Amino acid sequence: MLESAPLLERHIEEKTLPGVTSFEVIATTHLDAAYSLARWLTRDSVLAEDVVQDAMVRALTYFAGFRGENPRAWLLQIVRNVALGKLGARVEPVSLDSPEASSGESLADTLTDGADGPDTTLEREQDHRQVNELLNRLPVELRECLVLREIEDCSYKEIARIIDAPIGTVMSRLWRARQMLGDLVDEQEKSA
Amino acid sequence: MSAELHCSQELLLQADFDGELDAAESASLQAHLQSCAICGPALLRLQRSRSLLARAPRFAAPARLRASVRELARSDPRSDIERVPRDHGFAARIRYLVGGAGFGALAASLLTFFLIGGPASYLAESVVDNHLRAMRSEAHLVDVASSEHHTVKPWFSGQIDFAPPVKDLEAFGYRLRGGRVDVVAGRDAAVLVYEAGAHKIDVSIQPRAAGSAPAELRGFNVRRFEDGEFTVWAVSDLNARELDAFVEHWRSTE
Repeated sequence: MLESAPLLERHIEEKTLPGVTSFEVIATTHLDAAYSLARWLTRDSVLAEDVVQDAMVRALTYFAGFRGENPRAWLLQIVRNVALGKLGARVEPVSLDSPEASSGESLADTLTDGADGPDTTLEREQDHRQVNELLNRLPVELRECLVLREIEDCSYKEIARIIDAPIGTVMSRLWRARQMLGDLVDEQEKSA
Repeated sequence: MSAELHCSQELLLQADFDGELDAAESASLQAHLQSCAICGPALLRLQRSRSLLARAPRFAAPARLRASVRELARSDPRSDIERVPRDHGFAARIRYLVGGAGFGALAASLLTFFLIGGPASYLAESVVDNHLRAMRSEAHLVDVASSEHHTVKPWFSGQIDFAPPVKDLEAFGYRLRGGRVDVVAGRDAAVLVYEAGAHKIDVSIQPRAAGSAPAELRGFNVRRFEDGEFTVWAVSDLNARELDAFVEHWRSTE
């Protein structure tokens, strides 16, 4: 199924911003997206602000070499790298071709934050905090794909650029992220 | 549940769900979906995850972060460079436009373009684009067609909020064809079209702004100069010497 990736790539064009774009315009236009991504990755509002600050300074350094294409993806890529650096996260490739790896592992093993028990009841009060908690239980490499796709509305190609991975990897991680999220919801419903 | 059942089409199913397939690929996936016992429930599951995420909180940057990023952008000299996204067909377009003028001219125009590379070249790009667009139309785009500058000048007053100089250069062999309003870098520009034999000269006029310009862009000669309170661009397929002469006549005529 992964051979479909090049096929997809043909059809996905990067968005290009027409006209002149100064750093200030790029930075302020995409600031909310930058902060949102930092927040989802770090799960911490203070740390997220630090990440965005540092990312903007780094972006200024890179700005001279920036060709002007898709400034949002360019900026989010920097934010993502700064965030993972601050988290000290190991960025390791996730197994793409062994479904057993995802379906076989216990969900408890994938919880990245033990402080949040799986006892929230989604049906009773599906508010922000609960969705937030569910999403935050996904490992960061799956969470980032899902957040970029569903919240930042990025295309596969943009996600691939931001996380510096092939489109096939993006597709596979998105799939796993969604399955895992579904499993988490199922588990909650069962225990409710 | 469905995590244990897999279909070879699942990532395509997801790609369709994410709007990443073209019409033909999507249609064949839909046909598959009709007959696959795994993909039907899998699609429901994708939809459930999406509606769940639609309720995820949206985080906006705090005001103080916004203020400090703006401050950073304004205070750092490195943010002064402005970018023009270059399309990938640029080199091909240059080659097409320059045509038989040869490699030297091509190299020169490339060099000019890359050396300038700032807001001024963006303005020049914009002016040349407008000139090109005008050349494509049979009558060389004019919104008001008149060789009488007393007709053309008042026409602009109903269109834009400044009064551009409209000059009668007939005595020097430049016949006024008319005028139009272009947009250059997001601002209105009054454009006068003059004829010099078979050649057209676009004179693009905006209220004065700082800047400089390449002398040639994509095979067209470009001149930028100040005239009173205005910044004037002259673009033409006239050769450099002839365009310089035109500019001289323009500047010496009231």
